[in-house]
Amino acid sequence: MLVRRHSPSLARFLAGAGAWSSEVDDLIQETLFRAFRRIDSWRGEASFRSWLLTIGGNLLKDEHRKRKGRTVISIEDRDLPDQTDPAGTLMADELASRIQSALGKLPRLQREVFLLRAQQGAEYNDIAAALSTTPGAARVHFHHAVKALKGLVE
Amino acid sequence: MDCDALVDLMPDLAAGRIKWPADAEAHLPNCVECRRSWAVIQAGARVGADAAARINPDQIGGIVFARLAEARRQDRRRKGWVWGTLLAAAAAVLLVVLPPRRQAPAGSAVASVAGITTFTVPVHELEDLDDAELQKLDDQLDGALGAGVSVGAPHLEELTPEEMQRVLNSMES
Repeated sequence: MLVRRHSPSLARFLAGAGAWSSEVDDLIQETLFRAFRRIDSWRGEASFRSWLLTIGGNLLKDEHRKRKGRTVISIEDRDLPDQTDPAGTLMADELASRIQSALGKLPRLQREVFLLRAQQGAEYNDIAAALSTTPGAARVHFHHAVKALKGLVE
Repeated sequence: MDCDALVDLMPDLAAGRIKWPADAEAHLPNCVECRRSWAVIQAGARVGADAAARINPDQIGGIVFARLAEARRQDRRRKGWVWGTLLAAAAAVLLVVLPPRRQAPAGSAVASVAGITTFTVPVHELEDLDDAELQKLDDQLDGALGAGVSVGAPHLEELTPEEMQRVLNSMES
C-alpha cells in the first residue's frame, strides 16, 4: 500500500532531481528498503512522503558522486519519436523537459526545495523539517529557484 | 496581492488544491514576471511525469519486501552469533577469574583423623553371610569406630579435678 502510494512521487522527484531513467527503479527500491529498515528514525516532524523523498535525494547524491568520471549515454523515452503524442502535449512537455534540464544547474538545496514545493506540493514547514532548515529559508530557496529557472529556460 | 505572495500560492493553484483568489486572478494578466513564474511552476509540476508512468509499484514492492525479509533473517543470524560469542566469552572469563577449589592443607583436623581404619563393605554381599561371619564383621566395625572416636580425645576419667571443673563450667555456660 505504502509502496503503491509513494513510488510514483519518488519516481517524479528522482527524475526531476537528475536521476537517469535507467536508475530510477533501483533508486526507488533502495529508498523504500532503507526507509522501512529505519522507520523508527522518522519522528513525524516532516510528512512521511517528504522524509522518503529526502532519503531518495541523499541516495541520488551518493549515486552522482559515484557516477563522476563515468560517461553513460542514456536514451530517455522523451528522446524517442512518439507517433501517438499530439502536438499540444509535446509543447507542454517541452517546457517541463527544459525545466528538468535546468534543475540540474541549480544548487542541490534549491533544486530539492523547488521539487518538493512545485512538484510534490509540500508546505514550507514540511520542506523545512525534511531538509533540516527553517520554513523561512525554504521559502527563500524556492523563490531563488523560480527566479533562476526563469532565466535558464528562456 | 504582491508577486511573492502569488508565487507562494502558485504550486497549490497549479495542482488545483486551492481556488484562485480574486486579487490573484486580477494580478496575473497584468504582471509579466508573475506570468513567467507561473509558466515555470506549472512546468515544474509536470517534471518527471514520464518516469512515474514507467515504474511498476507492485513489482518494486515485491522486491523491497523480499529484501526486507532476507535482511531480517540475516539480523537474527547475526544476533544469535553475537549472543553465542558473548556467552562463550563470559564462560571463559569465569574460568579465568574464579579460583580453583582449594586442597585441604596437611595437618588440619581432617588429616588428624586419618588414623581411622578404612574399610569397604559390599552391602549386596551381606545377605550371603552366615551369623558367625556377620558377628565377626560387627566386631570389626566396633573396633574401627571406637578407635576413630578415641583419636586425640582424652577420656574423662583421665582429667584432673581442675580440668573436670573447667569442662563442667563450659558445659553449663
